Amino acid sequence: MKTLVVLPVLIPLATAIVTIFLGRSLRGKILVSLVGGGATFASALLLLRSVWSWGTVVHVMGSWSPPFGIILVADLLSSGMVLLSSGVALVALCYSVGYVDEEGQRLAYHPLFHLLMMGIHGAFLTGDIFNLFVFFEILLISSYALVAFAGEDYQLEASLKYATINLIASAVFLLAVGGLYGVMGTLNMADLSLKIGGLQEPGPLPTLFLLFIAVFGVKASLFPFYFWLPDAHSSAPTPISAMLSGVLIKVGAYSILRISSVIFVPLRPDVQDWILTLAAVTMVVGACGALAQSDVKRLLAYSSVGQMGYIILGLGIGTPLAWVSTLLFIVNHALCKAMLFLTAGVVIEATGTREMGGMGGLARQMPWTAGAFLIGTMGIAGVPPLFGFFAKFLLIQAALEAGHGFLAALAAGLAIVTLWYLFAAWQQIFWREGSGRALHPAPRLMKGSGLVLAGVIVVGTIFLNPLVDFLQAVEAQLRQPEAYVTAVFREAQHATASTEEPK
Amino acid sequence: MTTLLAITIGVLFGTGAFLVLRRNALKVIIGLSLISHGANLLLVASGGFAGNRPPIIGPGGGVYVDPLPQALVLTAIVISFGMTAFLVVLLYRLYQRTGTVDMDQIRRLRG
Repeated sequence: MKTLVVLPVLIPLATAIVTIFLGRSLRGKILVSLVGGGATFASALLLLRSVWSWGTVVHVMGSWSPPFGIILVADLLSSGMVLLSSGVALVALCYSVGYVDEEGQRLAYHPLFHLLMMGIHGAFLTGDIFNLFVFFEILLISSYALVAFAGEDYQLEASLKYATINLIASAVFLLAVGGLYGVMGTLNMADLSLKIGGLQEPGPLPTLFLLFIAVFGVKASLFPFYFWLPDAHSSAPTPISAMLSGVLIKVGAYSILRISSVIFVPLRPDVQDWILTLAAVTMVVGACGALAQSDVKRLLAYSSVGQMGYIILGLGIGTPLAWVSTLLFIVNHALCKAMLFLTAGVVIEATGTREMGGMGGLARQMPWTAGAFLIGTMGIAGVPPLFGFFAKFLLIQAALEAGHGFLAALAAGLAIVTLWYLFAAWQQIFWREGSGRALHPAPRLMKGSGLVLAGVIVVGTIFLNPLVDFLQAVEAQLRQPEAYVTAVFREAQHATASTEEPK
Repeated sequence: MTTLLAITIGVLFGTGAFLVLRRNALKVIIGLSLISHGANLLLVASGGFAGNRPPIIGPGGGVYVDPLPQALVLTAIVISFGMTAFLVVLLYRLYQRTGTVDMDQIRRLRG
C-alpha cells in the first residue's frame, strides 16, 4: 500500500527510460508513452483513493528513517495535485502524438515529457526541502529542453531566458536551504514544523521564508519574476504550453502553500503583506499585458500571469474560505488554461497563423473547437454556470470577510477586464466575418484532446458540490500540520522497527 | 575560517551578478555558474565547516563535521554542472542560427 506513493514518480521515470531505449521505432515509442501516461494517471487515482480512505500515506525511501532520510508524503493536497497534473499530462500527451512531428517523437520528445511529469509529481509528493530542490531541477531541465524542442530562434531565446532566471532562482533556493539548515539543523518538513513551532524567537526565519516565497514566486510567475513566462509559455510547442501553464506554474503555488501550511506556520502573519501586495500587482500586470496582445498564445500566457495573481492572493489572505477558493482556482485554471492552449493550437494548425487578426469566422468551420474555446473562456473569466465563477466569488467574499475591501474591489474589477480580453479574443477568432481562406485540417487527436478537457470542466461544474466538499477536506487537513508531523514520525518508528528486526 | 568563507561567497555572488547583467550571453552563463558556486559554498558553510575535521565519525568517536551539507553540495554541484552544460549547448545552437551571442541582437520576443 505504501509503495503506491512512489508509483506516480517511478512510472514516468521507467517510461522515460524505456522510450529512450526503444531507438527509432515510432509506434513502439508512442504506445509505451501513452501506456505510461495512462498508468501514471491510474496510480494517481489509486493514491488519492487510499489517502481519502486511510489518511496520509508516508513512504520512507531506502529505509533511512526521517528526519535523516528522504520521505515521500501523500496527503490530500499532494495526491489531489498529482491526480490533476497527471490527468492534464495524459491529455497533453495524446495531443502531442498528433502535434509533434514524427522526427521529434522519434528523438527525445517522449522521454523528456515523462521526465517532466516525474519532476512535477516528485515535487508534489516529497517531504524534504532539499529533495524538493532536486525535483524542481528535474522538471526545470526537461521543460527548458521541451520549450526549445523545435529549435526555432524564438524558442531558443525563450528557453535561454527561462533557464537564466530559473538558474538564479535555484541558487537562491540553495541559499535559503543552507540558511534554514544552519538555523534549524534539519531539512525534513515535518521535523522543521516541530522545531519552528517550538521556537520563542523567530530570528532570521522571516527572511528565509521570504526567500523561499521569492524562489517559488519565480515558478509561480509572481510579480516581479513573471517576465520569462509570456515568452516561454507562448513559444513552447502547444502541448508543452498546456503543461507549463496548466500544471507547472501550480507547482510554485503548491510549494508556497506547503511551506506556509506546514513549515512556517507561526510566521504567516509576518509575510502576509508582502504576498498580498505582490499578488495584487501580478493580477494587474497580467490583465494589462493580456489586453495588449494580438498573438493568441501570448494572450493566454499573460492571462496565466493574471490568474496566478488571484491564486496567490487567496493564499495570502489565508482564511479557510480563501484557501478553498485558491484550491478551486487551481483546479479551474489547470483545466481551462490547458484546454485553451490545446484548442488554440488546433486553430493555429488550421489557419497557419498565431495572429488573431488573421483568423475570424471560424465558428462555422470548426464549431466543436469554437464551443470548447468558449467553455474555457467562460471558465477562466468566471461566467456563472461554470465553477470558475464560484472560485472568483468565494475569493472576493473571503477578501471582504478578512477586511481587504480594496483587494476585493481590485479582484472584481480585474475579473471584468479578464472577461473583456478573453471574449474579445474569442470574438476575433471565431465570430466576426471570416477571411474565407482555406483551412488546413488539424489531426483528430488534437481536436479530441481539447474536447475531453472541455467535458471534464462541464462534469466538474455539474458535480461542484462534491468537489467543494473535497477541497474543504483538503483545506481542513492543511490547518492541522500536527497531523502531518504525526503521520511522518509514526512511519519513521515503523521503518526503524522493521530494519532492526532481521538482527 | 568563517570570515574567509563569507568573503569568498560575497565575491562570488558579486562577480556573478555583474556578469549576469552583461549583454554577452556567454558571460551571463559564466556569471550563473559563479553564483551557483557561491550558493554551494554557503551550503557547506551552513554545516559548520571547520578546517581539517573529517565528515565521518572515526574509530572511537572524536570530533567530526556535519556530513549532510557536504552530501547536499555534491548533489547541487552535479545539478549545476548539468544546467551549465545545457545552457552552453542552447547558446551554441542560438549562435549557429543567429550568428551572435549579444542578447540585444538575439532578442525577438517582446511586449
